[in-house]
Amino acid sequence: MYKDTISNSFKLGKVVKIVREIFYDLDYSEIFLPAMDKFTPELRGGLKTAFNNEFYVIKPDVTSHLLASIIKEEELKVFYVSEVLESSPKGSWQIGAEWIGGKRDLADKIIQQIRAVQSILNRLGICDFMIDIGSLKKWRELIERYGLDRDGVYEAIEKRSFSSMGSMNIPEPARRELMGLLQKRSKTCSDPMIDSIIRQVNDDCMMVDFGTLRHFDYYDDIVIEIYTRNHSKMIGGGGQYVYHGQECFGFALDLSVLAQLCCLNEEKKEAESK
Amino acid sequence: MINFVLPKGRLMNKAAMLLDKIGVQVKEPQDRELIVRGEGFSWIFSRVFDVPVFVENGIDMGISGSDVIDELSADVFVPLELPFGQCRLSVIVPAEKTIRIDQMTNYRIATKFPNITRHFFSNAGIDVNVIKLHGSMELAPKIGIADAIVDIVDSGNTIRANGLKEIHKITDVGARLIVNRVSQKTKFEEINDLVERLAGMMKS
Repeated sequence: MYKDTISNSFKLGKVVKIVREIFYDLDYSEIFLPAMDKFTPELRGGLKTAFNNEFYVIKPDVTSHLLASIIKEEELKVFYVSEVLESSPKGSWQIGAEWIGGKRDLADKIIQQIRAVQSILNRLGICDFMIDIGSLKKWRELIERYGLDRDGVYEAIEKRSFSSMGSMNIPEPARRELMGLLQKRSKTCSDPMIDSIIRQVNDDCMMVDFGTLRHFDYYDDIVIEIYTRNHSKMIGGGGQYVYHGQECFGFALDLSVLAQLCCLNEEKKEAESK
Repeated sequence: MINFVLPKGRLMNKAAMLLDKIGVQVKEPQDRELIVRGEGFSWIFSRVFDVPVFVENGIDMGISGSDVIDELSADVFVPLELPFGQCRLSVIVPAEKTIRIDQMTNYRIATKFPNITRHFFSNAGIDVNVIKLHGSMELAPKIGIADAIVDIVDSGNTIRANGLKEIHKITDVGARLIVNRVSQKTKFEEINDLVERLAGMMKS
């Protein structure tokens, strides 16, 4: 039994109240997924268990759970508050949103969701955050162009391993391009969609970063990472995926990180008032 | 200012020598100091197993053995493999025993690396009982609390001296430079500069 769950709940609850209001203002509907569902290969993460000769997953990744639960194709603009387990009984609480289908084009969905993230963080008093945007497609194009070993390259990118990239048996131009992309961090890039998103969001918090990406098997192209120098863990992240041919975008924020940042702000304010 | 954590023990001197070659002087602790501030760096000295934990949870960079990073499944960047600390993680049994890995079902395996050990035997389809120990691994088969051990082998002298032999290498091990995922973004220039200087020095 974890101790002090109640006071931690109060901290998380304060954050959730504010974020819920923002999502409702932005026309998102809240969804409530079951804690446990029958195992299917589409469900990612979660804690696997067996009951009555059936396999189940407890608290899987919410996006995959949501997609596995859809029975009719319609536009879904939803948010959730959920604990998510990753192969262990210790989970993390997330608040996130998904925008599936509909007539809006992808760039517009991404911009709206980035603005939602900005509103949430600003309303919580977390001002010095950054949002990095990257492209998984850039890496895939490079891998295909040079016929590189996909798994090896992905592993090197996810670890940001210059040693692995340096020792790969690949043509020198390919290595130079891989290394260049790994080091790519700037305010703009040559990708029209990313440049357009940054221009339209029009905020100094936006940065292009192709070198710190993960989840290559999960997302399709554009990904975002949200962080602040005041916390050692990512505030959250998100990305673009395809569901039944429809472009979708979603993000999740770590509720514990948000609650800790809010506490830090309160402590700072208290110290200043003294 | 970069916060840099180094492991106390045999990796520390080699790490300090390597950093010295690119003009970064590690200020070694006096007496029982655990943090020492130097030019542009704050040096933290910790137990070997804590280095990836420190880096994952907010220290900007560190140097750690790949065995410890794998054991803890630390969520950190690993930009460089460093040219020291090379050894291997192996399955070790009493010298008089003749056995293969696939004959070790129900063996009691003592180790400091329970996660790597479980993963290795599970992948091999062998059901074993893993016993977590913090040190003096060689003692476990001698006193009968384990049938085999999984431990670091360097020259092999220690295991031979204790009447043991290595029967299977699980993985190669070496020192790694590790970086916190958020620091990589917030201190991009400083961290990249250090990584590039180290990489350049190791190439030359």
